[in-house]
Formats: sequence, C-alpha cells, structure tokens
Amino acid sequence: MSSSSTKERFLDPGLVGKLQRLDLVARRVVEGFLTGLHKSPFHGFSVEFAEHRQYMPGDELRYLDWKVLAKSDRYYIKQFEEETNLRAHLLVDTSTSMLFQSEPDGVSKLRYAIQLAASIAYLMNRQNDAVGLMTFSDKIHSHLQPRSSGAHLRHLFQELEVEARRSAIRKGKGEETPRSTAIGKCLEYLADRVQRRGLVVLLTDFWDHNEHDVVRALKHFRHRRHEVVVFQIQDPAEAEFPYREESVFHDMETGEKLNVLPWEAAKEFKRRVDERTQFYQRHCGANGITFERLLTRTPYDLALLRYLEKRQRLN
Amino acid sequence: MFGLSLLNSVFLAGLAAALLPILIHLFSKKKAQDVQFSSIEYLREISIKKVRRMRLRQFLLLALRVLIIASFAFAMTRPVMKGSAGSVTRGTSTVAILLDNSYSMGAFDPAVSGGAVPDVAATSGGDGTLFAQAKSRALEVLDLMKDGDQGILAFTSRPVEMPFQTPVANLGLLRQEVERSRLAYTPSDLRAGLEQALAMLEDARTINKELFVVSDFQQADLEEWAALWNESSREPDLGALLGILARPAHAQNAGGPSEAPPAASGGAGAGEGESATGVSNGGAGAVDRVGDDDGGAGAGASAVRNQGDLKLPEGLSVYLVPVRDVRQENLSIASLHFDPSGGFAGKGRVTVSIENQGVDAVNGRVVRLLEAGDIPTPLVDREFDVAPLAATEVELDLPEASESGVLEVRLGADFLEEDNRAYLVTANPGTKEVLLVRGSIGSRGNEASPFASTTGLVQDDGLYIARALDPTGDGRYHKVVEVGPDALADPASLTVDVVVLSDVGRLSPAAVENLERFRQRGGGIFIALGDRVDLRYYNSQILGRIAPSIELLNVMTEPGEGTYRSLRPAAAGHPAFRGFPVSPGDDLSSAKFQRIVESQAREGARVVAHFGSEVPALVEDDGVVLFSSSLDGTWNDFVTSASFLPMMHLTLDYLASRAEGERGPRTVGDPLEAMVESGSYQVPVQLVDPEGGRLPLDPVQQGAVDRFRTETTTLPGGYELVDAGGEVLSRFAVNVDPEEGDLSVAQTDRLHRLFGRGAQILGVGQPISRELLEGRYGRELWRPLLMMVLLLLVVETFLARGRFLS
Repeated sequence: MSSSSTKERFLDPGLVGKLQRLDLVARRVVEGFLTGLHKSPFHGFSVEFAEHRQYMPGDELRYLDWKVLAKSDRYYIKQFEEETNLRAHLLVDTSTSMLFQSEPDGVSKLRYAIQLAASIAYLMNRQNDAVGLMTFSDKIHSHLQPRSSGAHLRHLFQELEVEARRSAIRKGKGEETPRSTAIGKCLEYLADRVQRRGLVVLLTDFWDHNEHDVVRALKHFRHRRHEVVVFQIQDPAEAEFPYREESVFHDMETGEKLNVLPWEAAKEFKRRVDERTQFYQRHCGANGITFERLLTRTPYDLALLRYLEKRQRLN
Repeated sequence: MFGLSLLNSVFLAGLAAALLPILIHLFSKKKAQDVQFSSIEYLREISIKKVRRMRLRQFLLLALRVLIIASFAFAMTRPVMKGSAGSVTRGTSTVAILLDNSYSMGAFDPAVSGGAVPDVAATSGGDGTLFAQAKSRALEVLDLMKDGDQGILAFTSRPVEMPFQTPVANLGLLRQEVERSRLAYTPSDLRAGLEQALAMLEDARTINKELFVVSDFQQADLEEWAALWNESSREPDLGALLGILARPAHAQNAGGPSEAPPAASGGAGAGEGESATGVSNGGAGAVDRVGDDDGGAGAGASAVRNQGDLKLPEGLSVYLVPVRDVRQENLSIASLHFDPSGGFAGKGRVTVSIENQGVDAVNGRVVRLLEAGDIPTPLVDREFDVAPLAATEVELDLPEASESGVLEVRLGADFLEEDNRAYLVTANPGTKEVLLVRGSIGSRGNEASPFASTTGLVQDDGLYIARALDPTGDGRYHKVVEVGPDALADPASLTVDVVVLSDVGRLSPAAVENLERFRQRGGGIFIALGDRVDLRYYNSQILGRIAPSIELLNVMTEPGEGTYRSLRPAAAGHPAFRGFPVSPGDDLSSAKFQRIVESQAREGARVVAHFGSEVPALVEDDGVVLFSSSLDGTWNDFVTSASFLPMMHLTLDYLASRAEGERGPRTVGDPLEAMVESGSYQVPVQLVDPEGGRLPLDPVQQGAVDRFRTETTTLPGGYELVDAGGEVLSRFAVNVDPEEGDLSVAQTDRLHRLFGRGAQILGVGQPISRELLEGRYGRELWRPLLMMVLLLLVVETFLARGRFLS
C-alpha cells in the first residue's frame, strides 16, 4: 500500500468513522496525517537537548547537528526534550443541529467534530501538550480542564464517546431531547474562567442566530491573548442544498415544520449560508482567528494542518 | 337586457376539456416528503414568502389554462349576445316565411268586405281575400330584412312548395316569389311546411333565426296536427317550458305593453259569430305574449325546443301572423252521392251533403245542379235550410240522363267560393277493373260439393265469374284481376272499380278494414256465398262492417232432386236487370237454385231480387250487393244460364258507376288513373283539366289494357282523358277537400301549444315593426373570445416562465 493511499484511508471521515473506538480513530487519523507530512511535528519545539537521531528526509535543516556532521560526516538531527506549557481547549458544539447527516454513507456533523477533536487531542497528547474539552449547546454539558496525561486523554475520549453515542442514537431514529445552540454564552463562560494563555479550538456549525454574541465571545478569547482556531463544520447538504421536490422540513433543534419548495428556496438559502460563513470569516480574520470551513466529507488533514500552524505560532 | 344563444352548440362538449389542466394538476401532485434539517431558520424567512407566491402563481396558471381551454371551446360554439342595448349592433338573420296558400285563404277578408258577403264579380282577381293580405304581410317581413340576411320561403298548401331549396340572400327573388304566388285548392299543411323550413333553419349560421307563419290558422288544420302531437305522448307542457327558454331576449323585458300601434283588425266581422279567441285583436298590447310572467333566460345556451314531434332550433324566434281573427260564415259541399237508378224515372239522383260551418242558421239558400261543360247548363235548383254548425242533405233528380257525363253542383255565394262547387261523373267510358277475390286459387275439382253431381258443373269459385266478366279474355269488357283473400290486406290492391268476393271464407281484420274504406270511398263490392262461408262470422266480421243492414240467417237446401228455387227480380228498373224482358216477380231465367242462404234486409238495404217469392236473393246496401247463393256451379246452375253473364255485367257496371260519382282519388292533389283497352284509341292521349290545360300522358301496357296515370291534380272540376281523335276515354271529377271549408280560428292556447309559449302572436293588421324585431340586434362573440384566448396565452407564457410572481 502506498503512503498516499494509506493517508487517504486514514483521513477520510467516512472510512475512519466506521471505527467504533475513538482512540483508534484518533490514532489512525494522526498517523495517517503524519505520514504525509514532509517534516516532523514532534521535535524541535522545546529547548532542552535530548538526543541525536539520524536525519530523515523532511527534517528541518536548522536542527541538523553540524558539528557531528563535521566530525563524522554523518547527518544527525538534534532532538530536544519535549517540554511544553501549551494548554489547548477543544470546544465542541453538541447541539441537535450537529446531528444532521444528509448522506447515508457519510457522518453527521457531530461525529465529524468528535473525531476531529479526538484526533487533535491525540496529536496534542503526543506532543505532551495539555488538552481540555468542553461540550456545549445552549449550555455547557461537560468541561475538562487541560491536562497532558494519558489518563486524561482517555477521560477526554470517554466524554467524546458519550456525545458520539448521541449521534448514533439519532442516526437510529432514537429519542433525542433537542438541544438548541447558544455559542456566545458558552464561550463567554469559558473565556472568563481560562486565565492562562492557550489555544482554543472551536468546532461548531454556527447555527446560532446570535452571531454577534459569538463574535464578541471569540474576541474575548483574543483579548485574553488566546490563539483561536474555528472550524465551521457543515454538511454538504447545507452548502449545496440538493433538494428538488417539495418537502416538509423539520427543524432538528426546535421541531418546527415548514413546507419548502427547494427549487425556489435553494438559491436564497445558499446565499444566506454563504453570507453567514463570510461574516465569521471576516470577523475572524479581523481578529487574528483562524477560520476554516469543513464539510463532513473533507479529510481531516486540512483541519489538523490548520491546528499545527497555530501550534507553531504559539511557539 | 341581453340574451345569449349559441350557433354551434355541439362544441359545448369541448368545455369538458377545460377539466384537463385540473386533472393533470391533481394527478401530478405528489405528497411532500419529510426532511430532517439542521435548522430552518433561513428557510423560514425565504419559504413562507416564496411558497405563498408559488401557490398564487400555480393557482393563476391553473385558472389561466382552464380559462384558455374553456374560452376556446366556448368561442367554437359561436355564442351570440342579443339584446336591445345600444352597444350591440344588428346581427344577420335567417328568416323563414311560411305562407299559407291553402284554399281557405281565398276567403274574402271581412275587414275589406265590411263583414258582408262580397260580390264575387267585384272581388275577382284575388283582391280582398285573406291571401292577398297574407302576401302583403309576407312582403312586410321581407321589407324588414337587410343585406346579409337570408330568407326561406314555403307555401304551406298540400303538398308544401319550397321555391328555393336553400336560404336565399337575394331579397328581390323572394319578393318576386311572394308576389306571383297563387292560391292552391288543397288544404293547409303547416306542419309539413314547418318541418321543411326548420330543416333549413337548423343549418343556418346567422345570429338570428326567425320564423314567420302567415296563415288564417284554421282550427281544423291545427286539430289534425295537435292530434299527432298528442299521439307522440309527450308531456303537454314540455314544449311550453322549452319555449320559454328559447324566447327572444327582448320578449322577456319587463315593462309595459308593446309600443306597436293598435291593430286595424276586427271590422264588422269581429262582432259576429264566435269570439275572436284565436289571435289578439290588437289594442295596446298587440303582441300576445302569453307566459311573459314566466321569466326565464333569453335563449338557453343549449335549449332545444321540442314542439310536438318537431324540434325548434335554439334561439329561434317564432312570430305567428294571422290574417283573420274571427270565425266566418261558410257553407260547403261535404259530399256528393250519385244513384244511377234513383230519381225521376230512374235517370239518376244526386244527393248533396251541405255543411253549415257558421254559427247562424241558413234558410232559403239554393243549390243548383248543372251539366258541366264550357258553359255549364243548369238542370235543377232546390232551396234548402241548414241549422248552425250542422249538415243537411239535398236530393237533386236529373231531369234527363247526363249528356256530358259530368255534373256540377253549385251553392250560392258566401265568404269562401272554392268549396261551393263540386263535381261528379255519372257515366264513364272505358274498361272497368274488377278484383276477383276467390276463396282459393286454383280448381278444387268436384269432390267437395254434394251438388256437383246434380249441377254437373266444374266446381271453381272464380272460373265462371272471370269468364263472364271477361268473355273474350282480352280485357275488352272488364279487366279481371284474380287474387286470394290475403291480397286484400294490402290497400294498394284496391285501386279498382269493383271487388267481387266469391265464396271467401275468412278475411283478415286489415282486409275487412280496407274493404270498408274502399266502400266509403265509393267502391262497389259484390259478394257471392258458398261452402266456405260461415254465416255467423260473415254477420259479425264482414257484413257488420261493410253492409250492416244485411244479415245472413241460415242455409236453406231444397229437400230433393227436382225441387229448386228460381231467381226473380224484385225492383223494377234496377240497373242490374235493365234490358231484361221480365217484370218484377217473373223468373229471370230457368236457372235452378238448390241451396241458398236466407238473408234479411234491414232498413237501409233493399232487396233487388228474390229466390222464389219471398227469400231475398240479391240485396243491396250502399255499394254492397250480396248474392245469396254461390256462383261457382255448386249450389245452382245459374252460371250456365243465359241470364248470368248480362246480369253480372249490369250489376258490376252499376256498382262501378256508383263509384264514378263519389269515389276518390278525387280531391285536388290526388293522382288520376284510367284503364283503356289497348288499340281502341288514337295517340297521343291527353288529360284535359278543368281550365282546358292539356297534359300528354303515355300509356303503360298491362295485358290487354293500357294504364294512364297522372301523379297529381291541381284544380277542382271535371277532367277528361281524350285521344287524338277527340274521343273521351275516361272522365274524372276532382273536388276540393271540404274540411278546409271550416273557417273557424284556432284558440290561442292551441297555437302556443303547437308553436311554443315563446311564439309571439301578432294582431291582425298589426305592423311588423322594427321594435318587434329588436331581437335581431346582437353580435357574435367568437372574435373577442379568441382575442382573449391569445391574450391569456401570452400571460400564461410569461407566468409559466416565472416572469411574474417569481
């Protein structure tokens, strides 16, 4: 199996979503992602030297030990003690709208968000970064303070598993107590309580009509010198609105029904959705926040790449 | 007010196609599927407005498509809006005029004569008759027509004459036909005229369809029609009800009476006789609009009036234009009866039946018998009285036998001249045609009769009679046609002078009915009995119908050989024994009668000969002569006696001559037919009518005789069939139908029943004004409808493409 095909297999949400255990998902995603990278993300960030290892293609030349090269004519890379004080917060929107899944073979937005969050957490844990988790909808459902231990990571995975089961129950048309969305309120809550500078990763679909509250809360994080990465997770149907026949649309959060003529509404709907995305893009850009729109069929590497960029900036 | 009618209502069915868009909409509509979606926050704002617009657009599209199809189908029906409003213009009309030219229309107009019987000489030429007035009324209708209108003209005397077989746009031609039209001598047949006119009107595609009936609307004519109406078993009110639907729009205008001026009808005659119930007498409301309070729409879009067994086209306006509104006094000759043996010294007697059609008694009027010819010669006059609405019979004895063979009977002047004259033929040259009805066709041999051995004759019920009547076998004396009893069921077999029944056992009811009619028409019937005759059946089924004064009692058979009865004339001078050198009571011949049937002659019948001294042998009852024994050689040997042949000739000639005086086909319009011995005349042969007109006729050979026939007659009077040498081969008397002489007027109810409640009855003399014809104003709507369809199509196209309401 070639490395590229392995990567695709590992990073495709539809494929990895079939795995039940979230730790396996996270490991596969991260390993697959790392396989495709040309430089190692694990070393070179800390200051304490640890050991040498043989140069591998993709390693940065600045970590090449010139002295060893001069003495032995061998290429060695200096490795450092992985010492960090990075604290990351994964904020996962678990409102009912996140359960939406249009493609039978795909994954729901919540599942996508959970898998992505697990992958980032795994990756961070590999880097000895402390990672925390907050799940929320119109209120905060769980909140784990950032820690870097393996036990904490398992705990984090368990919390995510709980939310993942919600998604599975919904997929099987089980009973579901609707959860509405109040992103701004929940972010403000966290922003008030996190004193130490760190990384905030928000995974949400942004179905919150209080858009300015959301932006205000994001600004609040920035005000406290946090680095913020926002992943807007969308189902392809939300972006493309592929419906053709007259339908009764059921709002998953409110249960409200509405008779819709898709051919009449599609254009305007897509425009409104794009406007919302642009709104967040604009405000995020203006406040130094990384904003990435992810469809549930988008491979995870893009999201992980965005995370790493931010991680590097923090160093 | 407006009324809507359709010129092409068959396309109304196309309106059903307007349901197609609705059906397509219903069948193509799917149930909306349920979709779980993240949030309908945006969709709510978008869709509520969109869905409302879309639903409105869909509804408008559906309505437009329905409207387009319905409008197109409706345009195809060629709707016509009629009304009196100024916004519409006068539409084209097809006008059918039924002009009654029956001979009752020759009556003098009481309005002209002042109610008195006019001087015939002063009013000759037709002026002052009802027909002259009718023509002027028809011309009045034509004057109201304009370019683009079409006319249909029908003269409704029998047979109905249509000068043009299609509607005519040339009003000059129509006017010319009306002006030169003449009275006929036949009764009116309004119904047939109406049928033919309606057939042409039905195909007319003009906005207006109008029917004008100009007639005297005789009650007698319409009674016959009404009888047909009743026979059709339709509900009496159906025609009236549908008539209301089809009334012209202007007839439904609420409001006061018509502005038409009072009619100038009435005159002195209006106060006489029966009240003028038939038509309006004029006055303020000159147009009789029975049922105006019935309301109802103008012309129902699909209304078809069933008038009796006739269908009046939708939207047809019917105007009845009477030319007489009062009953007129009139005497008419109902029938003539000629008794060749009656009267003074057996020279002949004419019995005239005269009917008084008026409500006043007539006293001291004169009936005159004349010898017909170029200059009729008066023979005898008689005064008579007749009660109102009754008939009387006057006997006129001929002083001398008629020389010309044609007699004329004439009454004094009254309002209607045509029925004051009648003609009869007393003697007719030519071969008599005899229908010999045998009990069976073919010889039966001698086995059946116990007397065959006694008489020693061949038993055959037709042989001796046939030989006696046509001894030369070439039809020179009588043309004999031999048939079986079944043939009498066909009325066509009875176009002969005399019918002979020889030992006929039974006859079908239809045969008896035909015989009865034949006798009533003046035909003669000779009955000989025989073994097949069942006396009880004869009395009840045959004689009871055609000779009710004769009754058969029982069969009398002489006890033994050598005993017999003889035939003895009983009435002196009877044509059956004319020339025989015997006196009443003497034996006619040596013929021996061994078996006879005793018969009884009741009042109305007379015994012409006896068997022996007391048993009737030859009994006569109004055209029927019964011979109370057989003529087949079984019951007697009369058929071989010397007196058999001459007595049969005389008796049958007598019966045939009776027929000459009375028998039809002798009314105007009927065909004439004569049989002439082949080779006994010089060609060409012509039929000379009463006015001297000559019609060449070609013979049709039938055995030894030639048949001459003309299909119709047009004049009353004496007709002669003459050969090139001037010899008269046959004579005919043709008379008018006396029923037309009844000058009573039909009731209003009757007219409305026959022509529909919507029919407008004009007053006599009331002008046919433009106001009356305002129903002609209207216009066709198909053009604006098609324009609307085009406009709707454009709107639909824009709407369907989302240009509007998107």
